[in-house]
Amino acid sequence: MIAGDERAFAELYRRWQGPLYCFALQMTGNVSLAEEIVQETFITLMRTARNYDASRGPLRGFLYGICRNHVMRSVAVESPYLGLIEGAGENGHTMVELATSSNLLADLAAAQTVKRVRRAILSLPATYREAVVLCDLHEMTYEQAAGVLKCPVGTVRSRLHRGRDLLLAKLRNWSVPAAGVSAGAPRESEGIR
Amino acid sequence: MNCTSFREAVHEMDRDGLLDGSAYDAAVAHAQTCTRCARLLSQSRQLDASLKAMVRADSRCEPSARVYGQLLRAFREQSPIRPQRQRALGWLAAAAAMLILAGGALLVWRYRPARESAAARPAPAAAAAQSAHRSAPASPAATGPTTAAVRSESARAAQSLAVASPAKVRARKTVRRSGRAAKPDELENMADFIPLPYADDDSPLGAGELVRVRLSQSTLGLLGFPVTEDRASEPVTADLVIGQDGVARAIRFISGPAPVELVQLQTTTSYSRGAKQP
Repeated sequence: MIAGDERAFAELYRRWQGPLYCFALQMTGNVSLAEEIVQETFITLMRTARNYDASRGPLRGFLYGICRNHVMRSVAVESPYLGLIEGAGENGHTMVELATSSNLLADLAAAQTVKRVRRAILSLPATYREAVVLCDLHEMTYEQAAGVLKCPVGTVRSRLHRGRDLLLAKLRNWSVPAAGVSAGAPRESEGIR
Repeated sequence: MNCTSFREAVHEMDRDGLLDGSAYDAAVAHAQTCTRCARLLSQSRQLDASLKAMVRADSRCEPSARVYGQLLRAFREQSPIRPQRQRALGWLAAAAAMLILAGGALLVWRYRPARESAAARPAPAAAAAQSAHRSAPASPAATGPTTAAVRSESARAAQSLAVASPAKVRARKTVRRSGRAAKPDELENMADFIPLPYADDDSPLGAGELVRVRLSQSTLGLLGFPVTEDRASEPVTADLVIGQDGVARAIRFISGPAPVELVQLQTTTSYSRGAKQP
């Protein structure tokens, strides 16, 4: 890509546009803002691709770091309006795609759950939000998240715990669809209820 | 394990590799005995399940094709080919500028002698003669032509021709004296050539000769130059241009202590008798 290979850029975009867009959408809750962040991320990548040093970490962390910087910049600028747009995802393609599944009732219930969780995540402070999004939604280890956030691993751990506690407090009275629980809880068979 | 340590471990119970087996078993054992911690564990797992559902829901979301189109345009504009082309154009422009500067410097250097000779434009014949008269050495040694190159017939012919408006010799010359190039300060005290009145030949001089002579001012009078009576015997140093036919064509007055010696003149130009002075 550095050499100007358009196919290499297309391949890179195809590989990473989805995760980066999800990250931006989960952090901002706004489709157009997330698209703008993805665009800015790749433009920054074009300009700073030479700065990438594979010995310092995988490309994933480099890309997420760029994306996270744009997210935090956008969050700082758009924060007065995030309360107004945080429900934007409800009318986005995510909900529509879910509704096309075969089990309509289960999908609607899952959609309701996702909607509530999404809203709860968006209401978290940005520092806790990014820890939850990276570790729980993008399945990063503490070390990987620390690389993206450029902070110690212990900080990531404490922010994640605090963020999850806040999420539980916000979602205290909700009920999870049975299908979601059985599919998502890995050790439910141990009978802790 | 107590409730405090359980709350610290609950969010890591289902994460691979964060809790070792004994810590996990201790946490499960504590949750079986503590209702509050059991509820917390259940809620934590429900939260995990919901987050996974959210991951599944978001797994297919992508930015619109418009984003890719704009990025592709930006990529083509920022392609390294463009800077390379700009760099090549920059080098080309620098090379062109260097060539222009070098050409200009060459022209200035090439035509500098011409400008210097133009600065010492020929004065009218009378003024040149007067200048030579003023600067001529006051040695009473020679009172007549000391060189056979100036012929008596030339002097006689000069009497019959007017010298009212002699044309200036416009010659770009290379003077060599004793095998070396003449220095500028050696040329500065030389006046321009003045055609002799009888030299009515418009043909090129070809390989003419330059002969330095010492003349008395009375001889200059014979050539038509104004001479004062009281200084008629004072000698004047001058260069004579002798054509291939042996006829003296032009004269140049020398001021200062120039030695009397033969000077070769290489010239390809001619002078016209009817030419006007600038």
